[in-house]
Amino acid sequence: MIGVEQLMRARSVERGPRSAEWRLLLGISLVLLFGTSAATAAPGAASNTASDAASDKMRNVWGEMVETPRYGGTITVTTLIDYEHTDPWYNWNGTMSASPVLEKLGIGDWSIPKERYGFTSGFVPVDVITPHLAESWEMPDSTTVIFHIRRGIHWHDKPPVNGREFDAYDVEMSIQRVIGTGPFADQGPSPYAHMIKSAQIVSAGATDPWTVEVKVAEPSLLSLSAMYWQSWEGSWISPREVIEQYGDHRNWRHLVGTGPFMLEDHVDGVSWTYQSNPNYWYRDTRFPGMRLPFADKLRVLVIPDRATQIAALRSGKIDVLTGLTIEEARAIERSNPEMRIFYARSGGLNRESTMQVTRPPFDDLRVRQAMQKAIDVPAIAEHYYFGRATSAPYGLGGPAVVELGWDAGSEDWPESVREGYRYDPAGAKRLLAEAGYPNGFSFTYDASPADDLDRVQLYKYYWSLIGVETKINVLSSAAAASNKAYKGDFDMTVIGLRGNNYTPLGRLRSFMSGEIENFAQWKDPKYDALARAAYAADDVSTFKREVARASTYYASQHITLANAYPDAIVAVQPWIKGGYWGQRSIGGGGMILTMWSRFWVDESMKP
Amino acid sequence: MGGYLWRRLAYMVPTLLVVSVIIFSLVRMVPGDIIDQMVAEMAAQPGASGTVDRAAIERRLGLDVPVYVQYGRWIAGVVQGDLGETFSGYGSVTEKIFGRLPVTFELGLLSILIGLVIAIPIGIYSAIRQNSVGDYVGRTTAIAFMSVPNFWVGTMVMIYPAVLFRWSPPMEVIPFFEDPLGNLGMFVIPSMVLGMSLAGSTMRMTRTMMLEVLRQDFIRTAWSKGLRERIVILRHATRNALIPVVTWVGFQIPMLVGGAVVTETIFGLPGTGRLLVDALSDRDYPVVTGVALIVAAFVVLVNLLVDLTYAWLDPRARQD
Repeated sequence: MIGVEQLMRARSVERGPRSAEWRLLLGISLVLLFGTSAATAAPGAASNTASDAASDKMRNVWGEMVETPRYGGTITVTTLIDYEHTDPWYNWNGTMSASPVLEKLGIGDWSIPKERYGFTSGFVPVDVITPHLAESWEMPDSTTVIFHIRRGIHWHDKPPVNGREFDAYDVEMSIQRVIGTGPFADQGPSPYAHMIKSAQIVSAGATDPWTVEVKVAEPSLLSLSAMYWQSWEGSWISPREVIEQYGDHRNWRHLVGTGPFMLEDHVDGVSWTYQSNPNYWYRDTRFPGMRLPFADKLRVLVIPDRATQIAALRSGKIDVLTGLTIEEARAIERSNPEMRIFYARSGGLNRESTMQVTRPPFDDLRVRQAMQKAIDVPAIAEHYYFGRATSAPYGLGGPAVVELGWDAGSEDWPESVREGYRYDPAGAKRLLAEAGYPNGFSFTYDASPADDLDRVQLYKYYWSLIGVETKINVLSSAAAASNKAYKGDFDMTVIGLRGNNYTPLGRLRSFMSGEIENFAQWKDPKYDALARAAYAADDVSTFKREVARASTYYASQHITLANAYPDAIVAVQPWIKGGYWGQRSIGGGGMILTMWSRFWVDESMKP
Repeated sequence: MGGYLWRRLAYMVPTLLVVSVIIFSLVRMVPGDIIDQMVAEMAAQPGASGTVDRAAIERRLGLDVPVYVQYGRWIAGVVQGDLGETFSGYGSVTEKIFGRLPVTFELGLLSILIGLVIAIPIGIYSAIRQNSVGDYVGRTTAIAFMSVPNFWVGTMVMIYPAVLFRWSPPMEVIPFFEDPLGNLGMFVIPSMVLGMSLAGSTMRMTRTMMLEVLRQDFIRTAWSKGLRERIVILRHATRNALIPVVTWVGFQIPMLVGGAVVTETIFGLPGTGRLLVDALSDRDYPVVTGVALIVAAFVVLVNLLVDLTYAWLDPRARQD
């Protein structure tokens, strides 16, 4: 996302390499093109196949001798809610269910050494994305993107497409459908593909079977990003016959893709079953030449109860369970010592307590600072999260973002800002007295059952020590997360920087004046100017510097509380192999289930 | 009898109409509307810009008109057997509900069967052996069954076998006509959990009614005639004692529908109870309203059947 925003300033290659934008564009193009050649073998060019997998060891792309992947078996995962339908155009439910079937123009590259990027956080830097259905792209001018479509890819052998070769007209139709142009003008754009809408794409047209030209209203590489991979609803490519015949592919029986799996069966409220695509074109970038997917089947069981999901994991009915709490992980470690538990550094969720800054008492910076200084965050990280959390404060970007160098860490902040985050109850009381609240005050904290209510109780305790009385108002997720927050009707709400909104770009926008996500109703011309400067950056280093300035200023204003960062925890059965170290996707943009095509099952290890 | 039946059926129409207005209004009064929640969900996606077309979503979902217009459109569809489209999946609500009903029906039926199989013999035994050790055990069991919430039992049934034996109940529905035994194996544990409270209350009801009947003159006469205990208990006492028990079980059926919400969620059964829970959390108004209406109609029908049973058993009831 960030890289794409930098590319927003890219100029036409025809104008010559006269600016930093050009250098940036060239650099990223090289990354993408290099990724293409290194990562993806041409269809039919695979030298290693299933028969070669008979040997026990093979050399991977990093030169290591590792266990040879095995074909066959079933990978079973779970979801709390049913996906309901299979068309991303209609909302993210369709994104989830279609993600093993449909594909995008770009995708994450798992052959990148995990030390550089492990795909374990929600933050996906642009340079880990490589061309996929597109072979490459170019920008002849600042409002035109040309995609060169990869040849030799075939749709699943299912009616009405029947294995036809994928081409530029499918891409044209898919983009037109999502933006509501051409034959889809009457239907209008997908109301859910907001990123595509923000990208201001004007038109998309195939100039020949292997070339698609996309025009945007303003110079914006957000358009490229959205079309390429990052839009949850808008980046997927569908076959035109399906849309022509049925109008959409909400009905799972109509879903046809180019991806590693074909949707075989769906039982409402029970399961989704995907069968491996025997003609899948893509080869594993980590094990050169090896056909994907490794597993014969991918199953998603709909289990709406958390305790039942954990029971299913313990009894081997499911292979993977994500989003574990530390208590759940510890209990599983005790009962199933063979289970592999992965703790990944979180990308966000650090500042989910937003204060309403337009009215007393939180309109006073000293009060907001006092609320922060009253909480012993390191103690919470150490004892409440059993040390599986980060206690350092962050600005707009979470730990993963800072580690990858896309935001400043607190060690880079001025001492005056760092001081505001030190646990100091006496100092907090002093600040309250200076602000005119020597005896404290009373306020309401809007929480929801989906959030960590125990931690809110801890806050209540800490604040009581400085004379602040907290009334915890537990609302439904919908009410807390949207209604009250979006209307600004709260003193302090659990909603803040959105949990999955990992990119500094999105977060910068969250606190600009008038933004819908600006729950705090914060209007600060200085912050707005800093954020705009970051958006206007020409190159990576400028962007990072401007983000750091805006982020540091944001941190100094204490709009949200800095909390301890619990790790993202995943439990995986020992028989699931494929270099799993807690990856969460194959590149963001809703490509959640896609990644299971990269894993295999060691049936011999199953009980 | 025929007139009575038609009169009662006619009463159902205004009842269901009032229920539909209440349900339709109440679900829209719950804080946090569907659009806000959708916007929040979408805005939580990576790289979200926050510019979401709320008006377009409202138009698509038919929420861009006043509530009374929405109700008019909905009730017009209901009259034609169309409960509308789901918000989350754009499928037919009618198809969705009727696709889920067999699961709830089977779960409910098995729960009642299991509950009665446990309750009636123990209730009878407790009555005829009043104040014996067996009676105390039976009464204690009944109170325990009524006191322990089925969500707790269900959760324990899920957790402990998984921890101790690495076993958990089946989590995928096997259609009855594909594999009847597998299907019953899948339903038996949730049915036992759901049938527990019914068993407890029915056990106590059976015992109480049996004790009352056993003190009646005709039972004394039966004993005086020198009939064997089995004949007195089963042929004379039980048949009379079970009349109010049957009525009691009828009135418990709506309670089972409520219990099914929890049981289906814990055991992952795709029934209407779970559908309702999911729809409520998603603010999927058409599904919530549709399920509530179907459940209301079912309860009204069960009540009618109970009343008809009474009328059949007691001619005086037909005059009321």
